Amino acid sequence: MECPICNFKNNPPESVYCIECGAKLAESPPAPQPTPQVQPPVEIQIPPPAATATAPPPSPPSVVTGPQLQLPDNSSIPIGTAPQIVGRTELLNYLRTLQNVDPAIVSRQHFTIFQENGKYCIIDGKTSIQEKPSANHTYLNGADITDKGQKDLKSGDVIDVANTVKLTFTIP
Amino acid sequence: MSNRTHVKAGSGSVVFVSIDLSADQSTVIQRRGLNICLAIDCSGSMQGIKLEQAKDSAIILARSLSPNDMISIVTFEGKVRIELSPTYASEQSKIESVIRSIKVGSATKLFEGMNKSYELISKNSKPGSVSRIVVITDGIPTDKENPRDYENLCKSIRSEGITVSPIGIGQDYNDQLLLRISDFGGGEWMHVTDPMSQLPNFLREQVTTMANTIVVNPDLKLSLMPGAEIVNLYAAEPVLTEMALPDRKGDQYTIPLRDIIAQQKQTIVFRIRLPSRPVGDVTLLTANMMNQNKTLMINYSDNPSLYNAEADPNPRVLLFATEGTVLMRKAIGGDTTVLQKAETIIKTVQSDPQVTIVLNRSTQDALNNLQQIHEQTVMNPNLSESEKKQALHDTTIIRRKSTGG
Repeated sequence: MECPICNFKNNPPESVYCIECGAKLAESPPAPQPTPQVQPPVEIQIPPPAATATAPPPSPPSVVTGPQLQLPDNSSIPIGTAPQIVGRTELLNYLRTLQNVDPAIVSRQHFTIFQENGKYCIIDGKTSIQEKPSANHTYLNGADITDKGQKDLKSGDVIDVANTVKLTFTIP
Repeated sequence: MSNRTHVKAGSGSVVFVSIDLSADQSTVIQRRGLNICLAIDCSGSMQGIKLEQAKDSAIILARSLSPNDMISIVTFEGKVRIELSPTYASEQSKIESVIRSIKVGSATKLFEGMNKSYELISKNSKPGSVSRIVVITDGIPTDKENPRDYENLCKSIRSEGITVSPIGIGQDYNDQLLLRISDFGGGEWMHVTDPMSQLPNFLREQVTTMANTIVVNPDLKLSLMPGAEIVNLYAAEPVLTEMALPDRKGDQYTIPLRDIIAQQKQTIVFRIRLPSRPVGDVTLLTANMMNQNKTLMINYSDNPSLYNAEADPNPRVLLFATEGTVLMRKAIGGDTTVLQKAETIIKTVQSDPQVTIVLNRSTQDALNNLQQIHEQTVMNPNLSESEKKQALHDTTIIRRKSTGG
């Protein structure tokens, strides 16, 4: 009996499986007695690795769905646990869709979001990672926060970037 | 699991086994330090939106790193330059000003660029950190063109626990080469048609994947029953690829795997040839990884209703679906001699009435993906270069075309 897949010709008559490639050559028996049990799947689950002297201290697991800044076009910027600058680069795709808006209205480093005592904060000013306050200001729920120190952020807060892009901070 | 629990006594047989590997759900990720090297093609063809978007995306990537992560940047064109030696991500201003200063040149010394990135990242890898080279290119290399050179380089890189993810922009780069680089480099080839929308996301994904890495460069040890041998093996998930036959010592195989990432399942399917044996139970295989053992038994029987039965067609269909997909990949690459075999596989599996009832989600996805790629390519002889690249790319991830995923 010839296998249609590997063309092996020497399968014994009545073969259900090709002895060369394993392909099925005929219907397998409908109701074998006793019915062979389906084997449990071979699944190997890796336990947590043992901590080593060189391992960094534990930090919260990175998750894909975390806090984010929602843009008007429903795209979003994920916010991680590390301090993060948001500026022209992050907003460029959206800025390019706006009529009569020069993307340069948003500074390259416009504001910084970071975590403190488990809470998220926003600052538009000089920080360890941001060189200087933005040129065209950041507004949090309507209030200008530029060069006025850090402010707490809660889910639903609206961040207005240079009176041009409104971002909504969300924590799922 | 194996597709059959019984085989014919006194005869050789072929069985299929699939093994799923994943991190224990309870595993809390201890985020390791990341060490990422961007190797950016700065040939003339990158000028304009491609390079500007690559630079913007590099900045977004740098900003998404933790302060103790390291980033380095190599550019390659006619010359290969270290633009940024490994630098802590806390030095954002320095990193961004280096990225903004990158300019285009001529030629595409991809091999040398990758080799320089390897040197750089290898020298600065701290124990326990997760290291990756991300290559961004849009053209055909002008230094080395032989895929074997890249395979060997990627094997060396991988042996040090470093992964390589190549990103190809547009339609002029060598897709088969980038596919090889990702296969041997343990990363994922990404095909970019719209740099503005795709590049930032792809680069951000690199950081997320690296941060979710639980085990770097793991091995799966497989002990087979005496006289049995692995005929071939494929990775079905997360990236579909034909795997090289593993090293064997006696009846034990050592199979190098991709890094174990949280919430990401790896599925490997094996075609195993079994020797002739008398009636009785025997241990088909023992799989071991990080001190976790799983054993699979098989029964040699002289009862046709047992040895002809298939307890679970999933491992068999999954292997044929991945095998067919790899054949379609070769066909898209120009080797049309393999097309007929791929089509036979599709027809044979489709005509098996039992299969449609009992396939699990992964197997069904793999089969659907193969059928869709076949329809899109073979039924459409006038594919553009860009459509061919997309079709080839679709052969690498079985859920790319499926809904839900």
